[in-house]
Amino acid sequence: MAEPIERTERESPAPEDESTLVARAKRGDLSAYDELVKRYQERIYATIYHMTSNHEDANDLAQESFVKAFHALKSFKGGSTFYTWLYRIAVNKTINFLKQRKNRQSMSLNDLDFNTEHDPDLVALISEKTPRREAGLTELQEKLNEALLKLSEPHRLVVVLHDVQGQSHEEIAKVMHCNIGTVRSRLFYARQQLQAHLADYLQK
Amino acid sequence: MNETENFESLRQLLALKRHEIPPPGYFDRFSGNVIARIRSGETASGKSWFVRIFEALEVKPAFAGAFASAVCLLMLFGIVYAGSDNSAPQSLFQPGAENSQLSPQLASASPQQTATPEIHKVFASDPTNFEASLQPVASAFGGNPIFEQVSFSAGQ
Repeated sequence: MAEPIERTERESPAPEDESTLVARAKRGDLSAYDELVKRYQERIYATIYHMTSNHEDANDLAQESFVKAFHALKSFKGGSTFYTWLYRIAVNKTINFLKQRKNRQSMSLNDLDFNTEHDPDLVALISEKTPRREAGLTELQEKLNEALLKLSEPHRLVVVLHDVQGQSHEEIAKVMHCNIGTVRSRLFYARQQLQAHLADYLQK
Repeated sequence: MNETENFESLRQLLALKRHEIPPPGYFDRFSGNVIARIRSGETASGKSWFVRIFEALEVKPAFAGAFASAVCLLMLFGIVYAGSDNSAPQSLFQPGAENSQLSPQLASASPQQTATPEIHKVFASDPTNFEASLQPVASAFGGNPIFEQVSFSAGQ
């Protein structure tokens, strides 16, 4: 008879529904909010990091976004998913920060992981067709981040969310409070700008 | 060479961004740091209100101008207010209704009673009269109602 109980104890608890966690967090349950932070921390951090190209700034802004979201939870009515709502807070905070930082941009780039050299996209890129094929990955990383920082914040955000993080046009439109047509046109313009800045590093 | 091919090449290059990762163990500590900040009530990354004001001034020149104008107006108001404040004690030395609140006896006395003889007359009659020299000097503005005349002579 004890067997079923033993099995239940060994099983990991089923992941709690997001709305349940949000409801608990609204009541001040920090363990529920801790779970929500763990779910979205990587995506929120990555978006901010790709927008700022600075790990320390991204760390501060990501933490502040989660703290602000917790204090603003009572105003969250559930009109969108918690994730979209949280994303908006993080994006607005980051854009405000970048406007302040405009004249003192400094990069503090994260290291590349061990799989970088085996990425099929990058293997295809660094080929005989690439004019600057002698350029190392670190140099490419630096040039790419410099080119991204030359874009305006809305254009950079669209590129980061779509081409780096793989979000759909619809999701981006929700986060940026604009229509899908605007997202598409911004994406096209931003890619053109990046292409011009990185012409030496792209295949022809 | 068409645009699609170019964007494809750019998309491949952008894939590099996905390989940029924070230091090992960073996300293990992240949620703990957030919860700690919530617990401590910290919302502005440890910056004091003083630092935040100066950051706001740096970002918005119009706000800086408004802040400077407000400070100037405050200083001007302070100077004007201080100037008008100085006139109030002078009224205490003028005979009238205000003086009667301090001392009814002094207020009822005539200026001749309250005013002592001029000092040069005292010393002219007897330069060694120290009793006279201890008496309060008459005010050049017609008597000082705050002082009462007291004699320290041994005979009294």
